[in-house]
Amino acid sequence: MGKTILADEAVQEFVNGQYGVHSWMIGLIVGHCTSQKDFAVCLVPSPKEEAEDGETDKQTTLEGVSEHWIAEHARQVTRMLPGGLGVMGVFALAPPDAMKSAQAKLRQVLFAVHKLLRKHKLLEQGENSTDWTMLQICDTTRKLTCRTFDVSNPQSTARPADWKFQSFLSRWPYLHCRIHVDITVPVQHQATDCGQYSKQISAGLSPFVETIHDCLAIVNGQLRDPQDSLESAQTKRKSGKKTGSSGGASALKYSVELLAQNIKQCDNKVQHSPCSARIQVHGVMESRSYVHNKATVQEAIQAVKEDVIRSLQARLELLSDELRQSSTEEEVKEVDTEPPCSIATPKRVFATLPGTHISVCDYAFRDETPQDSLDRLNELLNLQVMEEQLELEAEKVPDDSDMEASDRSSFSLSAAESEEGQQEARKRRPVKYIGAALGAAGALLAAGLSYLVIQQE
Amino acid sequence: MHFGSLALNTKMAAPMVLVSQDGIVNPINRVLNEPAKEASGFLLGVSHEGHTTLLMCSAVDKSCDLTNTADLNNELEKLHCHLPVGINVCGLYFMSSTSPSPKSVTQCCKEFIDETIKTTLNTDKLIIAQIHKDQPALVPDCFYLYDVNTAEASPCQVRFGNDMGTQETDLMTFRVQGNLTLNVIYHDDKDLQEALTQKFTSLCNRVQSFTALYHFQKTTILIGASSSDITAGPLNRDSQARDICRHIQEEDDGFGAPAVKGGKKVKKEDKNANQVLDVQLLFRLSLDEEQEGSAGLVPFVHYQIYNEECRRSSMVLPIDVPVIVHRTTLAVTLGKLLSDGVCRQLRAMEQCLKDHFKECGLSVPRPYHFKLPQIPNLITVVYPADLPDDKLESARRSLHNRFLLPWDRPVFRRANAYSFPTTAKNGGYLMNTHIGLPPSGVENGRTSLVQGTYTYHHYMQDHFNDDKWGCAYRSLQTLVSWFRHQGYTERPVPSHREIQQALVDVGDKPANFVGSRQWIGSFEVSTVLNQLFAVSSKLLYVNSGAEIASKGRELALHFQTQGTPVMIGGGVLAHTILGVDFSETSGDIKFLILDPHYTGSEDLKVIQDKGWCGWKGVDFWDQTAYYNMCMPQRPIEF
Repeated sequence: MGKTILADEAVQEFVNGQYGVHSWMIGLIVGHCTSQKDFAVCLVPSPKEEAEDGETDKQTTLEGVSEHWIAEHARQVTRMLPGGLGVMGVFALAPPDAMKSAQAKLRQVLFAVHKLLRKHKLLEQGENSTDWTMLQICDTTRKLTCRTFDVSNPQSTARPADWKFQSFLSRWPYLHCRIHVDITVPVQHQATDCGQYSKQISAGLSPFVETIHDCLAIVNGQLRDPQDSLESAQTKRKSGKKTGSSGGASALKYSVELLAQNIKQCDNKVQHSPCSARIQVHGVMESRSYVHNKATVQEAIQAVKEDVIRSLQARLELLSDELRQSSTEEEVKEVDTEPPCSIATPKRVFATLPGTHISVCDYAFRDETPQDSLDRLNELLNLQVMEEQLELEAEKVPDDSDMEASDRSSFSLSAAESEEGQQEARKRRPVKYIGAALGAAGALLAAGLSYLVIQQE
Repeated sequence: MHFGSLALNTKMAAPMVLVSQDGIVNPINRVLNEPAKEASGFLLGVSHEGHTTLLMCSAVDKSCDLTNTADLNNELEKLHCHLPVGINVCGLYFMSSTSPSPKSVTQCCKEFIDETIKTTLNTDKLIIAQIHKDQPALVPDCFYLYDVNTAEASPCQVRFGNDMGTQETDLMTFRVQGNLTLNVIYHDDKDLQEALTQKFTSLCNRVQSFTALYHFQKTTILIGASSSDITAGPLNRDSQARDICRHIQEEDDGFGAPAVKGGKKVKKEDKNANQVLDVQLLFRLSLDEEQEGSAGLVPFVHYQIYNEECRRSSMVLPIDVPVIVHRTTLAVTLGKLLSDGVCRQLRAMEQCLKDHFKECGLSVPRPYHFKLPQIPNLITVVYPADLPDDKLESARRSLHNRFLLPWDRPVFRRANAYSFPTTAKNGGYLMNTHIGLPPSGVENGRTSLVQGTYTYHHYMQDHFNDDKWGCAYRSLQTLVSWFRHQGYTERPVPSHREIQQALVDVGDKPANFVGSRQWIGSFEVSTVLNQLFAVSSKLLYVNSGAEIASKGRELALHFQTQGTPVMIGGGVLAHTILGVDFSETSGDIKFLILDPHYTGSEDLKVIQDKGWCGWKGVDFWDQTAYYNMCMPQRPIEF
């Protein structure tokens, strides 16, 4: 008995619009896996790889695509998805003969995508299902062929699966969470350049990830039984009011708060290490997640945790990329670029998937324009939105005065809360922003170079 | 008797104060009987709606000058480290050269109590016990009520007694647990002290900030540390502490009645009457929707470089705090009380780290709770993990002083620590199996029992088949368990083989005795106790089982003064005697027997119902066989 994949009606519309337009197309299936069935929320075509010499497309056939290219696309797409959604498979559209000769390649792509995402810890912890979907759309007969592969097993063979269109997205609950990040990373040896610095930052992330995983959560102010259905209590609560046929996104909104509990047993050990500097990350992140309407409280909380971790990871990775670039850019001028004293991570900019209330996002640095975000949403998610449809104010990027204020008083909460709050830094470097370098990065994109940078394994 | 109703019957304006005979009067009078005839310190207890019950007392250090308020304040702070929140300093007792009178009490109190002390004590009325040097005894006439604000003393009616019945029913205990991470960064040892002070201050601030939340385990109740908010759950503003019990959901163990919904069943309140409720300390990471008005900034990354190479030390602080509240306390106020308790323990941990730094460097401070005899509440002591008990003698000496305990037995060793019912771990052995037995049935008998804790050792345990030969070994194991639980030794309970080896080592048995299945008797038991644990024993011989009845007085005295379990063996089987019920008038006697011949599983009901632990008459003994008893003597140490 094969798996059932429910695809939202918006996906059907998308598919119908593609027939006869392209000679072939490959892309990612984005959705939500559960142990019973999978939900496909949208199909995201991968951009065509551009030849290095800028001449004609070298991959003129579906068979010729690079699985690394698609996997890298998947990595970048995953960053842009809200909690609860992820890459769950690959789709291809081609005439029958092209499809037939690309079978081995498609399988390779599917496994490569999974492998890269797992390597970058972009898959949900304890993945619900390692049965990934491959959807083949025949450009000629308009027939959809759906199969699943167990991507955790390299030897696995295709199993038939049932692909059904259905309208479900409008009923999906929206989980909102604002999370306060406060991480201190002790540094044993001072970073000599930004490259080292960015490594130190990402290394310090694991305790935070652990903390988030161990968190309890309250949903709409209530601590609930993880096995309960998320929606049951909501309907009970609302039933008294009878607010008519609201049905809008606000009715589906749940507010989630995460509560840290240190469940690590005290082992009576004291850890000593030399320490020459510290990195502190703090601020507030906007987190958005979506789960299917039959989801349990536990699934909902898991989605939020996934989003929080993924979002911070994405910001720090992007920041690291920028830092590394800035350190190599001006290599001639400065042998080692010292790590900046204070630097803001990019802010999350939201846009909704057309015809749904599901938000996807982009991360924009302080000096980037809304157009930069629109470009990336278009290129990576194939999303055509207007600037006025972008939600730019969900998060606030510090301006200069904020940075100075925060320098003096730290973050409002952290005085009470910061893990290493009261410890005074012994020496401060003058505040230095790398805005200039970020501007340069933005310019690269504008110049027509792809945002995609393949990171070979 | 409920003293509240008693107060109603009196015409006194001030209600009567109940003073614990065993917790206060006896200890103070014992100290007053010592050659120094000196006693001064604090009277501790609970106050609720104007009724005060004094439960226990503490002494100030000999070097402390009561009129020096800095000294006194210091003593108070040290004392607070040990007390659970809910047990308060309600008064003072001290010696004076004048006889007690309102005038002299006022005069003394004016000298002791200044604004600082007033703030620390946080009370308007103090109960003062002034003891005249020439009549060194604590009697009801010593007590006065002192109004801190008007500096006036008035006579205070007190009643000495031990019926703390009100305590048991009106108070409830929460046990707050949570692990807090402590990271300190410092250049050198001097710097470390300051860094510790700062870190603990910031931890306390964090615990008292709105981010701290208390989760009452097995409920959906969360209570905030500040701003008295009941964030979530079924409670409302008028809920009282006792209402929490009604929301406890027991995990479905799969054996109970069919679950109603969601596999959980709700416990009835009365079942939890004297139970300790577990509470977990949590910290919010999210901002409440309401509190998000001032939108925070996106995360940013700061990089701070220290001037010099620093050291960073990191440890997890195992917070474990008992908090005592009256059952009618408003639930909204609990968060503050729990936070106070956690902060108090943090301060105690800070002190522990600093006090023992020279001896053992930074060592994880770990709290232990002790249940002192005759005192209903727990006393908490923080010991550094890296210092064994034998290195903590001076710390224990001052604790014995502080709580007016004689130095003749261990009280504050780690092995003496109280283990909460939920976490009791004894390697699967049952503890104190006699608790819950019906009375012996001896008329006008005086029951003298083993004092403290032992575990039940019997045939077939430890995956070792000793059926038919190992009963004396098992009885010895029970005896050793008592010495372990009372803190006299940290050595594990010896196996049969180790017992045999000890007998070979001492020259009592040939080498081939090890690994054999030979019986041992009372003499061997006493030899092993002496060889392995340096415990000496008194041996008592009787020619026949019938004669044991005549040893009632001697056995009763043993349990009253030594309180150790007794091994009895001889011509026939070996048993453990846990107590006697002896009537001086009729001479009737029954023996509380723990039978090591039991081969079943660790099922207390079976053990009690089938008499494997139970009261036995004189006919229990073989009337013709001879017996001898090994009565271990407790070493005089603390």
